[in-house]
Amino acid sequence: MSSQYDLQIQNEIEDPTIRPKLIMGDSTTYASLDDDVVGIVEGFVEKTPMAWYLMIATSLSILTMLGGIVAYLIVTGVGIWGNQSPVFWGWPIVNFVFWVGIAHAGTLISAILFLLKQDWRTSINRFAEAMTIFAVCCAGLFPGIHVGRMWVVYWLFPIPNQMEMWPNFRSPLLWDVFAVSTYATISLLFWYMGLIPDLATIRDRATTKLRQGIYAIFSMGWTGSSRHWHRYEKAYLILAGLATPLVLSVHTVVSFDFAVSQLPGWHTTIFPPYFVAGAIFSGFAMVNTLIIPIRSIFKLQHVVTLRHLEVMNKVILATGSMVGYAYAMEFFIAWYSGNPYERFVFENRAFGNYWWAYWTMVSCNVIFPQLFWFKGIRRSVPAMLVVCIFVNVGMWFERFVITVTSLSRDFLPGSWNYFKPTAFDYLTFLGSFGLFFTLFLLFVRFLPMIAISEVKGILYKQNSGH
Amino acid sequence: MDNNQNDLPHLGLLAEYETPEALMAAAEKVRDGGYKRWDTHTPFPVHGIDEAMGIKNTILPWIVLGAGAAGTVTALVLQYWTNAVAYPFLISGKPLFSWVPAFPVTFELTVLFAGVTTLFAMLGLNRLPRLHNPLFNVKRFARATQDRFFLAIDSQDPLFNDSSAKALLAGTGASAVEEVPDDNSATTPPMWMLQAFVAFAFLTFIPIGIIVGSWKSTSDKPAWHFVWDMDFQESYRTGEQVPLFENGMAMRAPVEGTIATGELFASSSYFRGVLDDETLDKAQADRSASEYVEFAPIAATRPTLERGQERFAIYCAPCHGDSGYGDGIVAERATSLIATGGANGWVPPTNVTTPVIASQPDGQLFDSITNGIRNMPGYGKQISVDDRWAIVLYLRALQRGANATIDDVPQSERGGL
Amino acid sequence: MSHTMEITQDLSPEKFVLGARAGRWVSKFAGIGAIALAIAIVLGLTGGEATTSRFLHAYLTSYMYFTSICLGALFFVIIMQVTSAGWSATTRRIAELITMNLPLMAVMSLPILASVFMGNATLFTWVDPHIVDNAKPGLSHLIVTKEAYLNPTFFTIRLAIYFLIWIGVANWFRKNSMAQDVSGDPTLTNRMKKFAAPAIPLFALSITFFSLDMLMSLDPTWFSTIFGVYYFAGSFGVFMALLGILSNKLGAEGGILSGFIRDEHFHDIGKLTFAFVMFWGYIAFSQYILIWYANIPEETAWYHERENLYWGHVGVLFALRFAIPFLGLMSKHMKRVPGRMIIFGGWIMAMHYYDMFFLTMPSQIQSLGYLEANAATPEAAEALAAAAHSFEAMPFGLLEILCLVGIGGIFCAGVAHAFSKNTILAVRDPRMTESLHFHNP
Repeated sequence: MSSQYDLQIQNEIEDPTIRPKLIMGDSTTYASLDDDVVGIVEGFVEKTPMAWYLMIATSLSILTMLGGIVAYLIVTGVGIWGNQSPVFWGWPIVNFVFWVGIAHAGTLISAILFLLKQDWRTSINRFAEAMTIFAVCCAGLFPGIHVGRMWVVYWLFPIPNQMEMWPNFRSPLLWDVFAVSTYATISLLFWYMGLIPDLATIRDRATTKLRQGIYAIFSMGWTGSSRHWHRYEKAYLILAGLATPLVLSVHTVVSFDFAVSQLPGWHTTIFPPYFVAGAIFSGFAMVNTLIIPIRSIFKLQHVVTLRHLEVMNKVILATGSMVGYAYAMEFFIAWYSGNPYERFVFENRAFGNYWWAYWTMVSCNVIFPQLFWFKGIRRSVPAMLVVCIFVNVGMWFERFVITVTSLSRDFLPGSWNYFKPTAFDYLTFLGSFGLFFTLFLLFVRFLPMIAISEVKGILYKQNSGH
Repeated sequence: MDNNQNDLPHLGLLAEYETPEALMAAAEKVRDGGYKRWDTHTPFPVHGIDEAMGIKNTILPWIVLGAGAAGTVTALVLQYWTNAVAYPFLISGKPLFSWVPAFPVTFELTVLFAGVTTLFAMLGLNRLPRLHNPLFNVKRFARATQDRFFLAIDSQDPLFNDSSAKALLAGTGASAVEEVPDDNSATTPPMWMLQAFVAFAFLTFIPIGIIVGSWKSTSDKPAWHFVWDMDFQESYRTGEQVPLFENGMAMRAPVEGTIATGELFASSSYFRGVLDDETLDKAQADRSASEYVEFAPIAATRPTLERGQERFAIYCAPCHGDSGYGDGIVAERATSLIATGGANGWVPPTNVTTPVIASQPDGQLFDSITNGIRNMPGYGKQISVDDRWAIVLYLRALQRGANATIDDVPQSERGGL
Repeated sequence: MSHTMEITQDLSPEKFVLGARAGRWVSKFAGIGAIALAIAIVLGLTGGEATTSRFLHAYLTSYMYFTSICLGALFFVIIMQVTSAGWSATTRRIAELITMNLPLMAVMSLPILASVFMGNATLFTWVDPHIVDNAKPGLSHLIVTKEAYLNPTFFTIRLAIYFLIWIGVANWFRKNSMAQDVSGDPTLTNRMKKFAAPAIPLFALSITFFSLDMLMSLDPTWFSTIFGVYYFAGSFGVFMALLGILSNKLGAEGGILSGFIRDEHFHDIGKLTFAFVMFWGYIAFSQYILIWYANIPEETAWYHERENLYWGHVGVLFALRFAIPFLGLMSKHMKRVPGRMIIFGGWIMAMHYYDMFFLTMPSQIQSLGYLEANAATPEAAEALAAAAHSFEAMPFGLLEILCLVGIGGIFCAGVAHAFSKNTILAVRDPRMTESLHFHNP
C-alpha cells in the first residue's frame, strides 16, 4: 500500500507549490465513489444493520415523548415550563437560538465556501446541508409551541383573518418569522437541487423497480445533459449568492430579537455579527461532532479526510476567537460606557448568581477552541471530538447566559428572581434531539451523504491536473 | 427527442466516451458539423463543454432578477399597506412605516422570491421534470450519471443523415455508438392517473373551503375551549364571597388614605376654581366672599393668552362667537332656522362680554367651563386644567376689549381707527 | 497542480521595478501635500478657536481615511497568507508596498497628539480639564469613570503600541516576501502562513482600539460595541477599491503587470470589493437600526447630531456608500471588464471619505460646546456659539480640501516612493503559476 501512503502524504502535505489532494485512495474512481456513497444507501436495503434499528428506535421514542409533551403543553399551557417572572424568555428561546445557530453551518459551507472557491467543501456540504435543515426543523418547533395558543399560530403570518388585523411588521419577532421561514425554504431548495443529480445516480444504479421508481420521481428525469448542467450551475451560483447574505441575515435577525430592546446585556450593537460568528462556530462544531463517527462507521475517510477536519477546526478556531472578541468588547464597552446598568449586568454575569453558566460558556467557547492553535490537537480525531462537543455545550450556555442572566436582574429589583427549569424544560430540549436524530438517521438511510457529482468534479480536477 | 416522424428505425444516435476530454473533442466536431439538435450527458459538469458545444448563456439570471424585484415590491407594499393603511397601530412611538424596520422583511422576501424562482426557473428552462425519456431505453445510458460521458444526436436534426452521422461519431474515438430505439409507448399519461390527479386537486379544496366557510359564518354555539385552565381560571370576582378573609369579601379594602391614580386634586382652587374647605368656612362664616377664587391661579402671560385664544376658538367660538358676543356660527344657523319656523326651544348662547359675566370671579367662569351651565355642557373632560384657566384669562381680555374706550388705544395707534 | 501549466513570462525582478516612472511623482506629490498642509495649519491656527477645532476635525477625517487604506492593505497581506490564497500572488506585493506608508502615518499623527496635550477640547472633548462640570446635565457620570482610559498619557502609549504592532507585522511580512524574490524558497510561504494566524488577533484588537480612541472617543459619552468592526469593514473595503484601481492601471495593456493581472484578478478583486461594500452596509445598518429602535438618549444623541445638524438622513450615507456600489458591482461584467472597476473603485474611495467625514466632523459641535463653556471672554464664547449655530450646513470647505490634499499628497508620495524602489511583483511566489492560470466559475 505504498501508493496509498503517498496519497496520504499528498493530502497532508504543506508544500505551497502544489495543492494537496482532497480525495485520497489511489483506486478512487468515479465508479468506486458511487460504490462507496450510493453503496451505503443500497447496502442498507440489502442488510440494514441492527445498530441502525436500535438508534432509530431510540430517537423515535424520544420523538414520541416530545409529541406527548407538546400535547400536554397545548392542553395545559406554557406554565409547565420554568418561564416565570421576570424570566419570561426561558429555555424555549435558548433552544431556538441554539438550533438556529447550528443550522448555519450547512448553508455557509455550500454557499459561502462555494463563492470563495473552497473545493474541500464538496466532501461535507451535503451532510452539513442536511444537518442544517433538520436543525431548522428543531428550531422552528420552539417558537411555534411557546406561543401558548398554538391553534392561532397563523396570526404570525400576514394572512387575512376574521378580525381584520395584521401583524406588526415593525416587530423583530415578525422579522424572525420571515427570516427563519425563508431560510428553511431556501436551504431546503438548495439541498434538494444539489441532490437531483445524485438521486439520478441512485436511480440508474437501482436493481429493484421500486427503488428505481421512487428515485426516478425525485430526480425528475435528470440525464446529466450539458445544456441542463449549464443552467444548473448558473442556478447553483445564483442560489449561493442569495444564500450568503441570507445566512448572515438569519442570525442577525435573531440577534435583533434581543438587541433592539433596552435591556442591558441585550442591547449592544455588536450582537448581529457576534451572533453570526457564534452560529457558524456552533454549526461547524456540530458538523464535526456528527461527521467524525459517520466517516469511520461508513468508511468514508478517503473522502472526508483528516485535512477536511483540520480545515473545519481552523474555522472553529477563527469563529471561536471572534466570539471571544465579542465577549471582550461587551465587557470593555460596559466598563467604558460608564452606564451603571450596563456595568452591573456584566459584573453579575461573571460573578453573580449564574457565574457557573458564564464560566462554562467562556471556557467551552473561548478557551477550549484555543487548543486548535496546536497542530497536534487539530489533527487528533479524539481531541477534536472532545473540543467540538465542548463547543456545542458552550454555545447552548451562551444563549442561556444572554437570555436568563439579563432577564433575571431587570430594572425592578423587587422582581428579581432565580430561574429554575422544570422537568418539562429538560424533556422538551431532549425531545428536540429525538426529532433531529430521527430525521438524520432517515437521511443516512435513504439519501447520499456525499455530493457525488461534485466530488467527481474534484476527482477529475485533481487527476487531470487542472 | 420527440417521437419519430421520419422513416428512420431509431430516434437518434448515442455515442459513449471514456473521458471528458474525448467527449469535448467529439463535441467540437459535432458542433462544427453544424448540428443543432444534439446534447452531451455527463455525470458531473465538465468545464469547457459549453464552449465546445456552443451553448449560449442562459437567461436564468434575468428571470431571477425580475423575481427578486417582485419580492422587494411585494414586501414594501405589504408592509406599507398593512401597517400604515389597513391597520395603522402605533407601537413604541415608531413611525407607521419607515425604511429602517421595513428593511429586514424586504430583504427576506426578495431572497425568498428570487431563490424559489431560481430552482423552478432552472427546472422549467430544462423542461424538467421529464420522467419519460427515450434515452432511458438504452441500457448503457445508465452510466451517464455514473462514470461515462455520452453524446446524443437527435434524428430530428435537419442535417441528420444516418450514415454520415454514424461516420462522424465513429471518427471521434467513441468507445461505442448505438442507436436510440424507437419508443412506442404512449406519450400521454394513463387515464387513471389524470383522474386521480383531478380527484386529488378537488379534495385539496375541501379543507380550504371549510376554513373560509367558518370565517364567513356566524354561530350561536359557545366557542371551543382548548385550554381549560386558561379559560376558566380559579380567580375570584369582585363582590364574591370567599372564605379566605375574615370579612368574607374577595376584594381587599385599599389602605387608608389611598387615592385612585389621577384623582389627587390636591388644590381645589386650581383644579375646581373654588376655595379650599378651610378658607371657604371662614368666608362663608362672615359672608364676605363667594366660594369661587377671585383670580386665576396661573400667570397671565402672552403665551398663556395665545393658548387661551386658540382653545377658545376651538371650543367656545362656535357658539359664543370669535369675540364672545354670542354670535357663533351655531347661533347664526339657529337664528336662521327660527326665521323659517325651525329650531324650537333654542336658547341663544350668552354674550360673555356683558358686565354680568365680567363681574363673576375667575373661579366661577372656570367652574362654568368645567361643569357647564344651563344649556351649555361641561368641558372638563375635553379641556385640560391649564387650558381652561387660559380660556378664562382670554375671556377677560375679550371683556376688556368689548368695553374698551378710545383711551385704551395707544396714542400712536389712534390714527388707524 | 502545476505540471501541465508553465510560466511563459520573463520573471526577472528588475523588470518589475517602476523606477522613475513612479519616482518622478514623489517630489510632486510631496510638494503639493506639504504646501496644502502648511496652508491648512496656518489657516487653522490663526482663525480663532472655532477654526482650530474645525481644522483638527478635518485633519483627523483625512488622517483616518488614509490610515484606513494602509490598514486595509495590511489585512489583505495577512489574510492572503493565512488562507494560502493562490489567486492573489500577483497582486499581494502591491498591498505589501502600501503598508510601507505606516511609519509615515505614525508621524502624521503628531498634530492629533499635540491637540491632546493642548489641554482644551478643540478635538477630543475628554481633554477638557473641566469636562465633568461642563457636560450636559446627566451625562457627567458617563465621563467621570473613563478617566483611567481616556487621558493624554495612556492615549499616547496606546497609539505608539498600535503603530509598533502594525509596522512590525507589515515589515516582517514584506521582508520575508521580498527575501523570497531572491531565494525562491517555498518554505518562506509556509513560515508566513504560520505567523499570519496569530497576526490576525493582534490586528483585530489594535484596529478596534485605534478606532475607539481616534473616532469613538470624539464624543466620550457615546459608545457602540460594533464600532471597531465598522471601521475595519470600511478600511478593507476602501483598500480593495484602491487595489481594483491600481491593478486595472498596472495590469492594463502596456502596464508593468500586463499579463500578470488578468480579468480573473479583476473579477476576484471586484468580488471582494463587492463583499465588503455589503459587509460595510451590514455593519452600518446593524449599528443604526439597534440604536434607532431602542432610542436610548445617550446613544441616539450621536445619530441625532449627524442626522439633524447636517444632511437630514443617515439614509443618504447608506444610499451613497452602500446602495450605489452594491447595484453597480452586482453584475459580473462590471467586475471583469478592464477599466470598469476604476469607476466604482473611485466612487467607493470617495464615499469612504464621506463616511470618515460623517464619523468625525459632526463632533465639532461637542468641541464647540465645551470650548464655549471654558471661554475666557464673553466675546469668545459668543463667537464659538455662532460657529456652533452655523453648523446647520455641511462644513465641507477649504480647510477640509486642504487637509485631504495635504495628507493625500504625502500618502501618494509615500506610495510612489515605495513603487519606484521595489519590485512590484512577488516574482518567485510558489503560487505564481496558479495565479496566472486560474479561472473563475
